[in-house]
Amino acid sequence: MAEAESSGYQFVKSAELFERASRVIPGAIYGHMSPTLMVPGSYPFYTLKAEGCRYTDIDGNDFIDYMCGYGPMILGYKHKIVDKAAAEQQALADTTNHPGPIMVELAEYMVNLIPIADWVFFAKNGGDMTTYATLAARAHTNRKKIVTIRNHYHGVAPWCTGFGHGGITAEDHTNILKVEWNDLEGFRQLVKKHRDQIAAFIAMPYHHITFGEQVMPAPGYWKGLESICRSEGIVLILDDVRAGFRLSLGGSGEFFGFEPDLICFSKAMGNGYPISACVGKKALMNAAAKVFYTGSFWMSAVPMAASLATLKNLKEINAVEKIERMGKMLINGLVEIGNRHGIEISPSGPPAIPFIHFKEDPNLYLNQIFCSEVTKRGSFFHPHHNWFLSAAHEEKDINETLNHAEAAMKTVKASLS
Amino acid sequence: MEAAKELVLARIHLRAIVPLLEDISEFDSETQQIIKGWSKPIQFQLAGEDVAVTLSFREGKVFALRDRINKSKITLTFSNAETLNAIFQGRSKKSPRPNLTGLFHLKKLLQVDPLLKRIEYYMKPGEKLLGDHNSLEQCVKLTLYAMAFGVKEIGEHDPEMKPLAEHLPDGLVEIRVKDGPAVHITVKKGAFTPAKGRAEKPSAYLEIADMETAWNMLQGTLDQYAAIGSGKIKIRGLIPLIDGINPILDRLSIYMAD
Repeated sequence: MAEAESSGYQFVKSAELFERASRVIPGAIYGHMSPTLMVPGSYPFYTLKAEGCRYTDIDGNDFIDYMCGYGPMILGYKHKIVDKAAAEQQALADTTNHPGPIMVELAEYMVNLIPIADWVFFAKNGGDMTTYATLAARAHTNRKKIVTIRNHYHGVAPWCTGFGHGGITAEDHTNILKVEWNDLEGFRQLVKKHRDQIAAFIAMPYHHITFGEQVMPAPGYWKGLESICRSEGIVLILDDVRAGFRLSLGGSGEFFGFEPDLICFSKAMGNGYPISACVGKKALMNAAAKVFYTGSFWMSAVPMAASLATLKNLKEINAVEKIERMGKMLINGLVEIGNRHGIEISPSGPPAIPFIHFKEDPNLYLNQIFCSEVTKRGSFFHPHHNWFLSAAHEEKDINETLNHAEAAMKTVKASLS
Repeated sequence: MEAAKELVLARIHLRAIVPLLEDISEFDSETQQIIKGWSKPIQFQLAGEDVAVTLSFREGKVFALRDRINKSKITLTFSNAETLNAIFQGRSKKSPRPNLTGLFHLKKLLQVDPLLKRIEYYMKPGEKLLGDHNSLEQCVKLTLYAMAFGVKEIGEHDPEMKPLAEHLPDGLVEIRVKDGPAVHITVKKGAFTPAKGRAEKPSAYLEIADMETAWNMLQGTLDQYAAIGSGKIKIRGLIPLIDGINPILDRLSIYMAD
């Protein structure tokens, strides 16, 4: 498939800084922000400033942001209410010998907000919490094995990072069992085979994998999982790090109609301030307390103040409804543009966290062309990872993006000829 | 090295490295001189295993078959994988055992070692060779071929990599140097079919900008992530296929490090 020539933003300073970085930082930019996951040459590498749903890269290019920092931004960058709460806490204290009172305030607020939550444990990143949840489940059940869904992402701890990545050994996965998404019977058989050995089942609320179409749970899937877990004494863990607070403020279990025993949150809960949480049912609280798990910055007060302000504001403005509305407008617009050009676009996932594929392009060549062309025109679309909408996106932003998409679709069309 | 890995390395030597003589004989005058007048095939095999390669000689060129032939006149048998690897890596002065018919071709047998040394000449080149663009291109091409066929042996036989390979997406990945040599590998249900040259419709491709970058990548001395970011390496299409093969390539570097 030919890549048609196109005009658009240039990324000269990004490339220069990346070259400097490559001399002193492994991979220059590592992990999920690595350019290897995008289309280098068509994407910025470094951010200069951000406000609302927009940011500016170091070349001075402006973007309407549909990644939202890979999820954390949900109310908008430089959000006045959140930043004010953080600044007020900063003026008092942040990282000291003890937690601030804000820790208890935030925990109480979350226990009231999230139906299954009787307690809350705080840390920094989503991966801190998925690992913590598995430890708590093991402590609670006195069992070793954890069941995960193949290709679900739970962070970068060795137990959940694929064998083949640097430093990961086959032994790191000794007690990890895998089943396919939506395969309830497969899970049932696995439980039968490993009866009384499985501590927990952990999964994302729906199948949102990088490079793939997002797949929603089949009817009865989550209820079926819940039922098996209950009858077999298996702790049901929901990894809501990516989707949490975008589908429902009570967690995605509430959205899909099931009750996890533990839910892991991060990303959106602090609108960009570094914080994560694991909430759980009372029955697991004692076991959770027995897990020795901590970090130098986990009790920092500023992100907790920011998180409390974020959660309150999300509720106050009914952010979930607005984010869904903006997502629908974007996706419907893209499908319509595709139709106009005779190119069928297949959207997947919930509108708040959408992704698109081009029909009959399983290898994502068209995604790579289309998303990079939209990005070069001023709307940041990731070619391989689900996107994120925020409460800061307005109709005018979506319309501007659809204009970028219209122009980019012509390049896609040209690449097909 | 544990026995299972010795066997994988032996497979790499016989099925990915020795067949390079096919390509070397195309341009290397010393190889052409050694095999001048040869017509009888030579079969290299590992005792007790279904691993062999047969070299045939026609019109001054080598042809490699990654298998046995029924009527091999000269067969050289390595007693075990460990010995085979030690011989190929220059850690042992032993020689493979010839068959009875082979004993009648002693003069030729004495030339087998110098013939195999021509592979090492290009696979572990000196500064002079690397400094010449055309020679560098030959080294890159040969290493690329060895890589493609080595990936098959590791993906299908390494005890740790096999489970990983079995979960790779099916597809066809092409690895190429811009305006230079290329290989492609078809992956289907954990089985690998490597081939030389470009593919018609790859599911994914990895394009290396120049020979120097390619050589560094193939030697494992390149920060590939930074190289992709800077545009020295371009990847497109079904990236999980490339990502999935990458650990197998890393494992190949470890096998070939000695």
